Amino acid sequence: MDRWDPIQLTSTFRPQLEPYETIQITQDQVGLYDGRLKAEEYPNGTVYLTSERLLYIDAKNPARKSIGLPLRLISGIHNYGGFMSSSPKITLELYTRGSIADPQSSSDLIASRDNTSTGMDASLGSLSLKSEPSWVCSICYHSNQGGVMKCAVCGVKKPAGSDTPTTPAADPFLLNEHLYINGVSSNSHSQTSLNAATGFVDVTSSDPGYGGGGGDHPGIACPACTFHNDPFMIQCEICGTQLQDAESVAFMLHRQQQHQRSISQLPSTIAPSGSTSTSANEGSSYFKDNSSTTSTLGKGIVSSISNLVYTRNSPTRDSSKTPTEDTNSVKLSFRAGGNGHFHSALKTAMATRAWESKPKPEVAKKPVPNSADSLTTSTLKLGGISAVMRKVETNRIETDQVLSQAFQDLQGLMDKAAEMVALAETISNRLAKSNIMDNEQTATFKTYLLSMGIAAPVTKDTAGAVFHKELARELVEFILPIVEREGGTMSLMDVYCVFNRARGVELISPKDLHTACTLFLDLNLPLRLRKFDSGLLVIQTMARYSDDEVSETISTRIRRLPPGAGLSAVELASAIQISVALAQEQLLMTEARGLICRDESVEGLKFFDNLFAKWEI
Amino acid sequence: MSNTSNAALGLGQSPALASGFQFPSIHNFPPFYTLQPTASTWKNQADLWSTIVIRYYRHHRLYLLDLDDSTITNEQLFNNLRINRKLKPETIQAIVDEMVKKGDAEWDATSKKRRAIIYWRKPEDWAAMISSWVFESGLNNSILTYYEIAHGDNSEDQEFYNIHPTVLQKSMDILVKRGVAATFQGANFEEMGVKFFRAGA
Repeated sequence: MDRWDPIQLTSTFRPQLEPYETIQITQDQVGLYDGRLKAEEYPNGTVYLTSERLLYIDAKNPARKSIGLPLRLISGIHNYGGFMSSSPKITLELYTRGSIADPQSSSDLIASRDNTSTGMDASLGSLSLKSEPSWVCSICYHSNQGGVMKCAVCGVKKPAGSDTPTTPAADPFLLNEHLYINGVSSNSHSQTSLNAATGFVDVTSSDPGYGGGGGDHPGIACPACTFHNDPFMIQCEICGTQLQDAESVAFMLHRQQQHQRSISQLPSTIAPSGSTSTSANEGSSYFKDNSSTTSTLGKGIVSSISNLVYTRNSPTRDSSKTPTEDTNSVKLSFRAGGNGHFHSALKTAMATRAWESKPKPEVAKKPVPNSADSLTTSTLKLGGISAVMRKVETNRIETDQVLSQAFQDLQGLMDKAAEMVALAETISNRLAKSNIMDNEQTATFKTYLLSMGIAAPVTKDTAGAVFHKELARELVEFILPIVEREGGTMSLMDVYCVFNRARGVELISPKDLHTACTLFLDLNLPLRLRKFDSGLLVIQTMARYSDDEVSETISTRIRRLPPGAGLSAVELASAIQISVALAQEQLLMTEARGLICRDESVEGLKFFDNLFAKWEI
Repeated sequence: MSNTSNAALGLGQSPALASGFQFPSIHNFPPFYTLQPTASTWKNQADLWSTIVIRYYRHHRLYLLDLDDSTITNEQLFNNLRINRKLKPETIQAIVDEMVKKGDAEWDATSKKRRAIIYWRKPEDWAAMISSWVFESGLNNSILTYYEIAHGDNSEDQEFYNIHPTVLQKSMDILVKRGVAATFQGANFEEMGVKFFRAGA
């Protein structure tokens, strides 16, 4: 539990997201387990899966008992379907504390590291300091630097599924196992090299009493095209090559032999097991996952991996569990179901690894220029206004490109939503700073920009059963400032239009909106749905704009009119920028309080100050 | 008619009518001609209307308000040409209803709320006025016809001159009940006789 951090909540008890962070799925009635024991503090809450974190918001005490776990700390996921009275659960295995599993922190070290290591000739000692994860090209086996997205030699893209570097020090599986074995946080292994692999094998085979860790493999790499397929695929999605072929059968046999061999080497902690057939599939897929890398690294690593696979899946696992292992796993208990969707969303989020593609701060990227570079840049550097002009021009072209890409199709727009919102914000900020705000057109434009702005709208897909609750919260967050600007009350129709415009493509139905609004009271949100006697539905802020205040404002407005002049609903609506229906309701409400009186004539219904009450006869 | 605080409310004062009657400026207030749906507002409005109706009827010595008589509804009392507003017959009916509740008017029982007598003086007041006139002019202990009271030469300068027959009958009924007078059946209403016995009531 100590791996979780307290999180920031919005006013409506939804999680405060980081920039570029999006909610993937939401599930309520989830309890947390710390290791194998129930976490008493966190019995029931709503769990949000974002692109970067797993967030738990307690149902009873959201302000204090809300915690988050960065996804990058998760090394593996197990799904348990539930049986009889036991709820379905998802177990999350966490990286050991102190391991360099944190890509953020490791990326900070990039600057201090030179890029000369090819892995083959790097010494063990120096590598213990060089913690930057590197990766091996699946085609030419060139060891690339971690930050490089394409192979420096052959230009093949970094494989998506195995985004994790194959460096033992940073590979989630290998590292974890390795640490369990040694019980210390040591990085004394070479990266992406035969040396490393063999070294690893030695350690593993010398003490294979490993029992924890384990995890979800990203998929089966196709032997032909290296595409990472879903583990359940029989043929490669891209090239159609057989995945579960004779090779895997051969591998299975081979692995069994290995197993026999390893058993003879093992200490007595591992009991012989007959469950090889059940673990065969997983073992083979795991093997295939790494096959592109390992196939050339010699049989040693193959055997070591197969050993690992076997031990991980063998029944000895439970017996070898240590107390430290328990604290390194977390269980989510899905009391109201929904674990299936959550599991797949979690897997997707883990595979996407959004936290790595997040734009890094400028400072980290800044290289230290050598003398030759600084010489060339200084000659090219333009000074003064021309540089500013060129900067502005470059920015304009970039903005144009973003805009044209975003509006090419709807999918594109959705993908670019976050960028578009950021763009809208910058433009409105710039407008706010500039002095030419008296221009009416600019003001109108600004209101358009302000009403854009829900980057990651709550959808039925992401929120599931809690859709309406989440929608209500999102609505309040979005609409509260607008309602206050509109004078504390907005008709539901107006809300519907404004809200859907801001949501962009993820439109909601009027029924969903109405249902969400009826939940305001239950969720203790600062807005209320109100039905006027005429049937008009409005939402209004709770305290600040009471009926008393509204009626007082209206009667004052009417009293200021020239003598003998009345105020109609249409006039009021245009004067204070509200809908006519709402203006009518407010006038009738004021009238019912005896502050104004009506005049029905051929000219329509107009309202006057209530002189009858003041007249002295 | 309107005092200073009313003038501050900013409604224009209408010129006096040919008869010398002056409407209060509230008469130029457009909402005055709409039945107010709010109960408290309507009560104030009906009070104002009944006051104006009584003043108007007293000034013009009128007794009967007949909704089926278009001259009544088109009269300046209920029809303000200056602001182009006019009371609807239903609203007048509602106003008279309020007046009946206060005893300022009475529906003619046979008219189904279409005709009403406006009591700008209460029947008791009329009774007292008539009896004092009778005793002052020494007509007690002799029989007077209703015609002599309402239209006689002796009563020409009295306020009850041309009094409405129904009002007269009501006043006489009050006097009979008090034992001040006795009525005698005549051939028609105007030939009805009344004899006053002694002074005071």
